[in-house]
Amino acid sequence: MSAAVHVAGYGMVPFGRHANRSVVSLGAEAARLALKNSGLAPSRVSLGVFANALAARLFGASTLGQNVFAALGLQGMAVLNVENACTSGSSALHVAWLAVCSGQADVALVVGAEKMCVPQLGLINSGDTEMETLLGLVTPAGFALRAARHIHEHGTRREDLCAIAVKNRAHAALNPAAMFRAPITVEEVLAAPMIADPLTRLQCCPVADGAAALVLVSDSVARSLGARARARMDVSVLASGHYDNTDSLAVWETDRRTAGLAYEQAGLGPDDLDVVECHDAFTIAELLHYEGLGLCPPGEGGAFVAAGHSRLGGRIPVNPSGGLLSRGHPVGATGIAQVIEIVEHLTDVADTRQVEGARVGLAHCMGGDKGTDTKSCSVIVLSR
Amino acid sequence: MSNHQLPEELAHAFRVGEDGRVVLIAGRAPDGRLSFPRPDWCGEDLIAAETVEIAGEGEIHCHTIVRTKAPYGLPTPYAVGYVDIDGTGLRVFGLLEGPTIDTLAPGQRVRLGARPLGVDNGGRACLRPVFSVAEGSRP
Repeated sequence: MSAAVHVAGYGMVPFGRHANRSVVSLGAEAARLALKNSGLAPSRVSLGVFANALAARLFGASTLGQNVFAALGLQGMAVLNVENACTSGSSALHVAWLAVCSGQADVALVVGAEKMCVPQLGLINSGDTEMETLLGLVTPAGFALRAARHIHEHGTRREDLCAIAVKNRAHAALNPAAMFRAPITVEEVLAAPMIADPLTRLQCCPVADGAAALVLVSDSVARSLGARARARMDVSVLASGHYDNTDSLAVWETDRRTAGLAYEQAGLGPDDLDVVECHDAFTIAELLHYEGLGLCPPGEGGAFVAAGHSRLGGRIPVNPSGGLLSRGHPVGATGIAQVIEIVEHLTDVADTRQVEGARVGLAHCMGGDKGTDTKSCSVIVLSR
Repeated sequence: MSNHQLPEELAHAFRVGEDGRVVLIAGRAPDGRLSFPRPDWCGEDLIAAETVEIAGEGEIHCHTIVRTKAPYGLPTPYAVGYVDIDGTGLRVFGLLEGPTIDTLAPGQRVRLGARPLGVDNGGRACLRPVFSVAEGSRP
């Protein structure tokens, strides 16, 4: 059916505060690093895709992708700008993957960049024109409601939610590119200021500036690069939610549906995965994704993390990068950074956080709220 | 009732009655399925959904209390949640209030009203729909 797509190179600007940098400057630096890493000359790029979620709102900016690529001297090629909330980066990758699969592009440069550490940010929501936003739905509340329901239906303990923040911080301690690396305890997470019951501040991901970039190439280009073709991007699935009459908030049907399609297309299942990056914008999100991705049965996410199955050295390490909770979450860059983390494990360069012998990895992302569901969900499967 | 209006983003979804009660403006597809808010078009033939007004009464499915600085001039803290609307299969998001927000609980009966609360996207004081716990309701 479709041709193989390979990751030829990647680059990142570590997530954190970059007070004197613009979105374009951050994106261009990540793109330059990715191209250098791939060994490909800029002139080989036939498609550029740029992901950003907030620059229009925060800075009044638009079509920034052309500016990012022009900063590298890349002009005249096809350029797309992608905004899809927290899945902006993974959606940009999806578009590039489709283009390379179909033969329309043989070298695609995908860049995500965001600048959020600015006074005008305020609380994140799904957009000022959304009905739920006018009714007080801020992003932490949407996840807190799912947490409340999971606790009510399954007896999940608040300590189990906190254990996810503690685990991801321990992973981040091993990741030089993570925003927060100092260890935390369950007691500290519980005692942090409450944001939306039952989620405390340490259960909510921090805002960040940062950028990430990937070079995707076709089979023929990969062959010419030899050892520099680093991993295969086997499957990319992008789905949207269902917005009325949701039957359960404690089971994320959109997760299950998107992951199910990805497993089917990749010809594998959750037991075949060696490493996972998922959208842990809040602790409850990661817990629900354990269940949605089929890493454990529905309702058992709390017991799954409590048993240590999702930590490095456990049955299936989840978010070895530190995740959104500790690596940081510059929205447009996150989906690309997740894939970079998986590629590093598949190529044995993840240093002290390496998942030994990792052969198959999955990157999951989710973005936006509407009704009782997410607006967007992506699952990408990679292999060595 | 005051002269305040619902924010324009809510006006298509809620109607405030003379008695202060608020009804939901839902849509019914040809197969009988209800959706809220009413979609413009529905079904395989993309026909206009039938408009159905539904009493804003039901039970709290789940709730949370937002304790950070509130948007839109809402009080800090404030409560939001999902309400299962009686006899419809609809689960609707909204602001919640009870005698105190710390006593809200799943299963409590609530009724939708409207009162001046906060501001709209233009910074103007406005009405907002709020689900209030029915007197004497226990989870």
